Amino acid sequence: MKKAFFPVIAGALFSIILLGGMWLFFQKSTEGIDLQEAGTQKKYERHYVMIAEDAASTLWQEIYKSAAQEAEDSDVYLELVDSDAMAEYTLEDFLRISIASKVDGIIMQPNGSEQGRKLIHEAAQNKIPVVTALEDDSESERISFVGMNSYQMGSAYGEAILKNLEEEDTNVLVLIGSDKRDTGTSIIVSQLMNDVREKTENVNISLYNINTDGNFELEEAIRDVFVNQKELPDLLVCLDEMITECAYQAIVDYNQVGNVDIIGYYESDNVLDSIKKGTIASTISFSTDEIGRYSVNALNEYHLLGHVSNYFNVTLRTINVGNVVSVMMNKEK
Amino acid sequence: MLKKIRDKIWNENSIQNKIKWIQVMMMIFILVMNLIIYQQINKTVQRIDAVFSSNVTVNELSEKLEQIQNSVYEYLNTKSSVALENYYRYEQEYREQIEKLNNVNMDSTVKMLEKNIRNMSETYLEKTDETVQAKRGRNVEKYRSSYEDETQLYQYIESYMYQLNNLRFHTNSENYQTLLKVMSAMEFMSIVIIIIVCMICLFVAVLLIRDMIGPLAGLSVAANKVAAGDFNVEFPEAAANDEVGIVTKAFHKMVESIKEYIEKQRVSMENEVRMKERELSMEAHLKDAQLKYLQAQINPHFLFNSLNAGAQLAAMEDAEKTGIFVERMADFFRYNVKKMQEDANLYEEIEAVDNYIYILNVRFAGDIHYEKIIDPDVENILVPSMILQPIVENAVTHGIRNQMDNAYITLRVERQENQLRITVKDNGIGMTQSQIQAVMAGNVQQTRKESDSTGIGMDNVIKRLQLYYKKEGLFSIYSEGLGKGTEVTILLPFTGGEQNVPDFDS
Repeated sequence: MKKAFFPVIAGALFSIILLGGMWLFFQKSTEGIDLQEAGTQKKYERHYVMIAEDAASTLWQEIYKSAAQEAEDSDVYLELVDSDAMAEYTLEDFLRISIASKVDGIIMQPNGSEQGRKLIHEAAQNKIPVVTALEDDSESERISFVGMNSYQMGSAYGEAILKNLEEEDTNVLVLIGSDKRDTGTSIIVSQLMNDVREKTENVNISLYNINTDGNFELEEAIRDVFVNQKELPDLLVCLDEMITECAYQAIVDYNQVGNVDIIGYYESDNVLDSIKKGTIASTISFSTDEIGRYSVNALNEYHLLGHVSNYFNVTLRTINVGNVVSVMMNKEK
Repeated sequence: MLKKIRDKIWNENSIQNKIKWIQVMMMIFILVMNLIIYQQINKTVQRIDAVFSSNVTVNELSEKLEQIQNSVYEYLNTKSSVALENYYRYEQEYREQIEKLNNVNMDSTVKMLEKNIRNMSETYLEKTDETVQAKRGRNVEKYRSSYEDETQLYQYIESYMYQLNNLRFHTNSENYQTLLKVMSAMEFMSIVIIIIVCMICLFVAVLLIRDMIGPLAGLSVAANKVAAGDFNVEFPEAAANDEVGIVTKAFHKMVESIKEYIEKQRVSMENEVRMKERELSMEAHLKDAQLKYLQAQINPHFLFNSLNAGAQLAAMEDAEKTGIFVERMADFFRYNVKKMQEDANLYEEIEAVDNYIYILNVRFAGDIHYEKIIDPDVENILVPSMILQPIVENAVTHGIRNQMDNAYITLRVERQENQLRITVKDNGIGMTQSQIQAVMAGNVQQTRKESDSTGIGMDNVIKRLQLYYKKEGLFSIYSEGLGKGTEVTILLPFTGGEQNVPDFDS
């Protein structure tokens, strides 16, 4: 028995440790039970809302990521709402909700509607600053725009088209979503045309408007291009992330790889992959990190100083087969 | 340090205490474990309760909101004071309720939803107020547009509430899953701990019993050995100071004491035996000395020579009878001296008796009637020397001394189975039984100074026969009583054959 004294003590200790472990495990696990009770979470000074057209897209996810980081650093809670997702609410609905919710700032991508402009005006009256991102509505009372310079962007597309010209006449089809028929898009298109026509006359540039008001119409509209057009274009220019993806898929589906080239928009993983494979010729991209950061910074600055620069330009870049690998490597980092 | 504590706990407690404490400790352990588990479960259930109650709160909010919306609608429709009253009441209640919602920016989707609902509700109430005021002021256009805005806000708030409830339900479902996992893990761990504790209890119980029974079993083995007379048993070591330890130690001490006592007894008995041996050997030496002394007294050669000279003188003077007498005297004493240290033939012994009777008859001018009845072929048998003459002398001295004129002595020697029977019978004064017993026991010490003795007493004969044949009962005395004569019988066994009676000295 005496010899068993230590084993028994060890067993008892083991049980106590196990019991302690159980206690800790329980505490840890129940802590993991998020009851969303007050007082336990981090508090912020301000509350901004970011209204995304498609919050699930890579583009908006990346913008939100950098914006959220910047917000976190500047004691701001950044709420991402998706105008596509919840309860069929539109951009305007979210603007109304945000105004009624008395948020401290709104970041949005305007669709150029009159209603939107009115709501921005209402927000301004309620002292809620609105920053437009990616696309601008200069006629509204937004305090600032964060995005690409449309002239530069038009030039970048033009340059990309010139690089992908055929020996004979080249048919270029510019695909434009109906929600993009704002001034920014017009500038891009006219700049693109000017730049190309200055250099050569062997190019036929035509525009193709896609009605994207209803659901799933985008894919159908692009399918029309391949099925119903008498002559397939040599080059498809996409001014939208979603259009780029659809166009790429259509080329693959209708076995037009090699016949039809694409100049895309933004650098989603799919687009980069396709550039690497040669299916997409090049893409015009920009720094989502800058868009996110600048948007939050613009609102912060407005709160701090009462005014802010009404335009923040983000860096543009063209990604083609020559630099796609390094871009991909940087992204992985 | 730990060992010390262990020894202290283990050695200085009784079995009763040990069992008691182990039980108490185990029970406390299990109790604490259960308490911890129950406390944790309770805590979690409370938390979950809190969440569900928050769901209930949101539902109440939603109902109240609906009542406001309805009352406004009713008021706009009917402009009834009841509807207005209801509106104000609901509005008040709703305001009170939304006060409880979060209005701080924090890192929680749920809390931010609450904040949005609260702010939107405030905006909504402003709008309803505007609507009601416009209606009161009969500003139709205003209250219509205001009502539209208000209704839209109402829908937003409703959808946010729905979203909040949904989110809460979603998180609660997740929490419920987590809780289920935790509970099942805890159940498993509790079972493991209970099994461990049970195993420890069992282990302790088995060890405790073994600890109690082990020394007892050892003790019983030792006790059995001790009972069988083996005092050199190994004792089980009694380490602890408990009941078994005390019994073991006491038993050990007892056996040691018994061992010590036995050793003492053995030593004292050995001493006693040694002393007795010494006493006996001293007695033997004394006897030997006495014998030597007696032999020395006789100083034989001078006597023989003198007697021979006397015999020759008697012949020269023609005194024939004197010559024979002296010669026989010389023969008698020569035999005495010569045969003292060696065995004799039976005929020599008989001749010594003849000479002795002859001398006595001359001395006392008497006529002792001496008769010999000897079996043939027995004369050459070897017998211890000097046994017949002392018996005859004894018969003369104590039996017939005072009736010499009518004295009879009969010597009979006969073979009887494996032994030689020698009988000396007289018709003297006889002996009483007590006298016979005294002689047989050797208690009658003959005085060596008796004038007529040749020096060897009856006791000497008896002892020598015993030593010679290593056997008792060879010598017997028979007398029918005083005045009835005495008969002494000696039985001499043939030990190594008729002619080879063992040598006295061997």
